Amino acid sequence: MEEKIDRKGIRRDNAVNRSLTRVLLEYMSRHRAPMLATLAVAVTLSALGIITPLLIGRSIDLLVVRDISELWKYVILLISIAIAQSILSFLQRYFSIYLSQNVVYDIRNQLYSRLYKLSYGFFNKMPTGQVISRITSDVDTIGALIRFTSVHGISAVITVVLALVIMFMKNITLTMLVLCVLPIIPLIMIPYSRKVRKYFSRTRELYGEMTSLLQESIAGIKIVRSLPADLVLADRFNLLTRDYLSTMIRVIRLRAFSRSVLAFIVSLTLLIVYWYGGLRTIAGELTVGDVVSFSLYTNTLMWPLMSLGFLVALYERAKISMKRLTDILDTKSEVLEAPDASDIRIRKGRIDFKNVWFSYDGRTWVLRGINLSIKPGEIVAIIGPTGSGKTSLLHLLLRLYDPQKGKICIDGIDIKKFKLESLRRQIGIVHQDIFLFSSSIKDNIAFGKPTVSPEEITEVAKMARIHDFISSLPLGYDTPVGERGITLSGGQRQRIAIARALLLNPKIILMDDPVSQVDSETEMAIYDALTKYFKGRTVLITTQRLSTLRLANRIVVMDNGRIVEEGTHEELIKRGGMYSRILGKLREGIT
Amino acid sequence: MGYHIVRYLQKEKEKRKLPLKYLFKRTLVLLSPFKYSLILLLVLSIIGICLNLMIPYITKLFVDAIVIRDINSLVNSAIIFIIVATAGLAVNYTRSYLVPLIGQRLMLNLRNSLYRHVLTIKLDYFSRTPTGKIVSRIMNDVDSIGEILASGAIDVLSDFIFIAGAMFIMFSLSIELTLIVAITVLIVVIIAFIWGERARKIYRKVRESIAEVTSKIEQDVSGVLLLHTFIHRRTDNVMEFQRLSRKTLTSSISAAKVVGSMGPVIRLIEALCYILILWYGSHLVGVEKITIGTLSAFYGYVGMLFRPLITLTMFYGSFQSALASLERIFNLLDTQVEVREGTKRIKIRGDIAFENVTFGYEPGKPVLRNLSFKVNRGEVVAIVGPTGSGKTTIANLILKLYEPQEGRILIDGVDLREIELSWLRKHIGLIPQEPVLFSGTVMDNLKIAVPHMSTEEIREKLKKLDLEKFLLKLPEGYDTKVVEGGKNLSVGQRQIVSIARVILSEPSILILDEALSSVDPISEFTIQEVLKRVLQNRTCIIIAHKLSSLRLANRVLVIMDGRIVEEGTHEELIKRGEVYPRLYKAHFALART
Repeated sequence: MEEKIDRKGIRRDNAVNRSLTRVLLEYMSRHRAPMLATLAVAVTLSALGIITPLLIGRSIDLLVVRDISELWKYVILLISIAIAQSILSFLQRYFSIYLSQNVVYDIRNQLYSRLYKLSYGFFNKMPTGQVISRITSDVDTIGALIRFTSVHGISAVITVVLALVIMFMKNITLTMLVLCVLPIIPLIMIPYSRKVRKYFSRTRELYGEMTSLLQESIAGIKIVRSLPADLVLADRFNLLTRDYLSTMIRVIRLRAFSRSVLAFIVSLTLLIVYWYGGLRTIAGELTVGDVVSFSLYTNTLMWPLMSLGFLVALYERAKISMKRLTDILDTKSEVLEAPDASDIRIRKGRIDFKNVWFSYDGRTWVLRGINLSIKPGEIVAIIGPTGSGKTSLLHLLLRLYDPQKGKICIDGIDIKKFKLESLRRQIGIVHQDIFLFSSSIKDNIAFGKPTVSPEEITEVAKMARIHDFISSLPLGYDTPVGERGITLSGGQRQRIAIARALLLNPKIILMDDPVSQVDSETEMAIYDALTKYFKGRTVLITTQRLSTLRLANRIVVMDNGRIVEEGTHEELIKRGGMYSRILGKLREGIT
Repeated sequence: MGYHIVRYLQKEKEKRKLPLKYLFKRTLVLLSPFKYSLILLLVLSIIGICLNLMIPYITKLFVDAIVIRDINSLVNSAIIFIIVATAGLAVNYTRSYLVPLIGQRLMLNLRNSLYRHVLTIKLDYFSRTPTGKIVSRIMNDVDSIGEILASGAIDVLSDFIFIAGAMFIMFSLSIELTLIVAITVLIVVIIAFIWGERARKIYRKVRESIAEVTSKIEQDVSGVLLLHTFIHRRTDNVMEFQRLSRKTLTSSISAAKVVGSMGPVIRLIEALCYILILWYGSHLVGVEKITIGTLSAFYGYVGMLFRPLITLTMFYGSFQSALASLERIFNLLDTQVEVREGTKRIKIRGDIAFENVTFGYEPGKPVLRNLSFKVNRGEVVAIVGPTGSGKTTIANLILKLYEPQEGRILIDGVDLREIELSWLRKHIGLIPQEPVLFSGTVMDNLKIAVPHMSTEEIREKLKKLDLEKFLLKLPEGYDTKVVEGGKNLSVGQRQIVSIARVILSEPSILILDEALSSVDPISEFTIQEVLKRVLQNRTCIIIAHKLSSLRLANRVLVIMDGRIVEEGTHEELIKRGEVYPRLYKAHFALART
């Protein structure tokens, strides 16, 4: 399989080249019956729509010659056509929604399951909002294309062709005259839809910017007031709303223009029909009924011509959406499960990093030749400046990324031999940035093990020193958190995340600066509780706090992607290297 | 960001409490800047209606001219037609330009004033109200009233005039045919009304199920790190997603059944109406009561009648939800704002005094109890104590983010209440524990604090302060983009930006609330050196968990349960303190080895 790396640095299979039409047909072919039904209904409906003006014209001719005896036949015919049309247009709408919603359902499910198959690195390259809009609005665009095509697209083509054939049969010159004017409609509609599209995407961007400025201002209201930045921000918001307005005005102008011009064209066509048709009638070449059916045909043509304009623009949009979808559908995961990977139980918890080199972007090394062995049951603290590679080290162990060089073993087995699921299930991690779902506290703690008993949850919450706080809430463990629930402080979130990791009962525990926002007394209490829990488990803690080091059997000092020192606290102090420099500086002025 | 709010609107009830009359009065105030445009719009609408009503009549003239083979009247009709169509072009353009324009202008005004209002609401409102709810007021609710409020009234009015006018002309053309039309119209209105309500309910359900799916997608994409960590839950999550997704599928298909049947039924009635007119009209033509032209004019009028009728019926529903949005907007505008009675602009030198201050966020639950202390100008005081002891509250009170229930706070001998609010805050800098950065670049974030300074001035100043090297260490230095509240930066990096931001504005009093909690020890040390220089002649209050933060302090206050329990220098407190040494056992354990 050939591979290429595109501008965004996303790897993609070249073999899969998805054209919109082919993908649509592929998805729609899974729902063959509704697809064929939609098609049949569209054809019948357009044909019926074409017959009606003819019948009306005929009945008017009968009226002109005052021959009413035959008229009832036409009336009955018209009534039956009306009933048929009504039933068919219901079916058309129903089938088209059925079809498009089913395709949307299929695509969306496929996209969602890709969330788990793509590597974590993918999501770091693509902003969250981008991923979300692909799974939500881009899929909707494709659904809209299917719906619109099956309702208007097919009938539009059939109607236009049939109506023109009949009109030509009636009178060639008049049809030619009408044809001089009508094509203006799609000529206006196509560039109009394109432009409006462009402006709309700009307004959506601005709308998003307004929303995030609002959210940030409210989230940081204390900072806004203490700076005080209210005037600056009000100006900034005003700028956004003004920009939004001026973009909207462009849309409004375009829309007003196209609407009124379209109405004018309709009138113009009618004028041509009545004027020229009238002259021909007076000359005896046409009947009054012919003129009336001509005028009705121009009306019949109007809507399909307008929707063809829409359709072209919608198709272009859907093509772009499809291209965006392939980012998610066809990107190759950077972390692949080996075909011979299996469920392996971690029995001891020994960890070996063997000459590990790692880079996020392929240019700058974040880890440069890490060699580190951690014995079963050992507690190792990693310390070092921001950007020294501490977090990357932990992420490699979980295989959120794979190193470019070297290998990592657990109990002497290369972690690539593990099934991803089996590896991660046996390692508990507290991430630096805590994410909680908008559900209850209980669900958040039990995220890794939903079938757990309430007692177990209470137990880990007690160890993480968050139980007392949770119990003090009126709803206790059922209190919702996040957008629609309570806002937790950084320290509280960290403690919930600790409880979540402990619940898995893992052999290996990774903690990435886990208590940075917890006060020292609580921190001590947590560690006191954890010392017992840590027995028989291998623990890796990165930290900025010297107090955490107390816990560790061994301390690893990292700088610039390398391990510069390791040993016990005492050994490192004696050595007088970077570690003792850090300690020394921090003690300065205290004791 | 920005996606979560959608759910609120969809979940919120449409029940109103404020009386209609009151809403109406306040709405008029909102509309008052647009009175002339609105009057113009009304006039244009009436002209447009007249022009529109003329078209079928001209068709009648055409057809009649053709039937009696009179070229002269054919020419006359064509001329009138051209005039009417051209006038229609102008009127239609202006009208369809003005309607949304007024709506958008109104939305702009409303959004700006809501935003300015939110920035001054009393702080406790924010702890009671989720952010998403407030955002939804300013974004979604304003959207939903925008065009309906401004143009809705005019549209409704002109639709009424149009229908009345059309009925009148039809009546004068033929009474019998008009009766047929009137009966059909009545049936259509009733159907549209009943169906419209059903459709609204069912659409609401569809929207709710879509919101659920969207919300799941948003959450899971935002928390994708967690999903990968707990990858053993994959099957459960995928199944849960498919369940939600299937709900959307089935609800939209059942909505299609209800909503999809309305159009065809109305169209069927419309068609029957046409056929009845044709059938009965031809009878009338036969007895020479009307001409064929009149018959075709009727066709034109009936065709023009149905659309505004259906819109009018549907308008009722959207009008109801617009009123509900309006009420929510007014409620937000009516929330209490900060007290701003102070006017004094004293030179702030940095003496702070708390005199018997009692304060609680909720009544009956005091956080600070009868607290008194003094900080002299130029002094660096550390406040330590367990979580919940009231340390951050002290900072909040000095900035007048909240006001004490009892006692008073003096700055340089002047009661806080007498000092102008923005003046006070301009001279006091707060660096909070959780740094919030705004979208834009790092430089944009610095400029928020010092809008009058240029990029070069800012850089120069930071260079002088020896802070620039930290900012240059960011991925793209000053130009680093802050994404989604700063999630692309580590907490430590965010704290550094937040510190630089406050120091730039050169406050007379600086309050550090756990400002360096996530900065690595070496950077922390360097920043403290910077602070040492900056703090000369400035008053500083340091709130700290970490012992290392205390090295700057001249004096330490130990606070517990809203009271000061111990006070003195670090050395004194270690020697004779009881609480202080206990609080920092961990640090000492390490320091001794």
